[in-house]
Formats: sequence, C-alpha cells, structure tokens
Amino acid sequence: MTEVITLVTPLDIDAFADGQLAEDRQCAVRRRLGKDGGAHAYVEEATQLNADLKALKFRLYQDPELSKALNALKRRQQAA
Amino acid sequence: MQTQTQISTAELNDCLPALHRFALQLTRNQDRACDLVQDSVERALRKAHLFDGANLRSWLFTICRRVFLNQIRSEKTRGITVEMDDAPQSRLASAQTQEQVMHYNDVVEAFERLPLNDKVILSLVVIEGMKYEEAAAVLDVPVGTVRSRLSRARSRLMTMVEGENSESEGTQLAAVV
Repeated sequence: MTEVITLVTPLDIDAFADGQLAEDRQCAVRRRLGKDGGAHAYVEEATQLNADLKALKFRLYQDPELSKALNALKRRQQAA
Repeated sequence: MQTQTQISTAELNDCLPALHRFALQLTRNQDRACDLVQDSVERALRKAHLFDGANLRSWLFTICRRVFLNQIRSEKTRGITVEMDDAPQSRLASAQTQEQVMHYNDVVEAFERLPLNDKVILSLVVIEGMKYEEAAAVLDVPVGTVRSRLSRARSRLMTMVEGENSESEGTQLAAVV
C-alpha cells in the first residue's frame, strides 16, 4: 500500500489556529501537531493570542487610524 | 516552522544542567522544572532565528523565565480544577487577575506598535471573524496574500508581546484606505 503524505505548510498551521481549514486539511494538521511539538506550541500560542485580541476588541478599536481604515473598508464592501 | 540554524546541539547540551537548576529555582518542583526546561528548549529551537549568537546560556535563561511567567499567567487564568459543588461561591465569579491585566496591557501595547496594515488584517480575520476569502475580497487581494500577511502580522505581534523585538516592519498593503 502506498502511504499518502499530505504536505502541511506553516500557513496551514496558522489557518488551523484560525479555524479556517477544511476537515481533511484539519486532520492532516492534527497529525502533524501530534509529531511536531514546535508546531503544537505555535498553535497554542496563536490560539491564545486570537482569544486575547477578541477580548481586547474594544480597546484595540480605540485607535483612530485603525477605525478609519476599517470603516473605509466596510464602506467599500457595502458599495461593491 | 523555524529550525535551529544558529544553535549547535553540543552548545545547547552544555547549557542544559544550568538551565535545569535555574528552572528548579523558579518552580521549586523537580517535575515542573523538567517540563519547564523542555518547553524552554522547544521555544528556543523554534525561535533560533532570533538568537544573536552572543550568549546562548543567557538567552536560554531569558526564555526560561518568560515561559515560566507565561505558565503562571496561564494557571492564574485557568485556575485550579475543582468540582463545582466543592467550589466556594465567592470563587465562581472571577475577577481579572493582576497578571492577566498586565498580559492584556502587553498585548494592547504591542498591537499599537504594529504597522497599520498588520492591524487591519488581524482585525478583519481574528477580531471580526472573517473567512480568508471574505478578507481577500474586502482588501481586493488574493487569498494567498491574506494568509501570508496574516501569518507575518501574527508572528510579529507574538514576537513583540514576548518583548523580543520592538522593531516593526510594515507590510505593504496598498488596498487599505
């Protein structure tokens, strides 16, 4: 039997932390995390950071430059 | 993932006994010290590209201290597991710990130092919860570009939160504003 090896890139690991992977890719990344402690630690760190950013949304959006940029993008999205 | 390009295994092995003693001083527990050394070395190998080649032992100690502080923060956040029936009522409502407040402040300060384009991509995907495809449409760039920019922005933020690098380099995101 030929063993199918799925290539997992660092960007896949980021996408896994963001919950943006399809099921089959998620499985491939989980297998990788089981073997690669560094990747596992990165996912933990990224997941924690994501949670921190969500929790801090109100404070982060007080940045006028960021608010302006996001509003401009929203307007552009609505106009499209 | 990064590989250990600038750290020799022999040099690393030489530092391990001292690192273990240092971890033992911090944790005052043999098992936790071993775990801490393991986590510290793992992080050092992952961040090997940041090592300036000057003093490996000192760099490892710094990482060890940071990992230990992160663990304390994490434990404070998670708390000790107890049965709900056994928990004192006053403990069921949790206030933010001082460590958590400090950690949040670190994250906010690091985020503020990011280039605008990094802030935007993190806001759209992480905070607003957009799919990569949606963010790509909003920014008018390919999905692959969103993924790579997000990864770079996240790595930069992680590094800045860890205090390893306060210098930031902006990505060029022409689609913003």
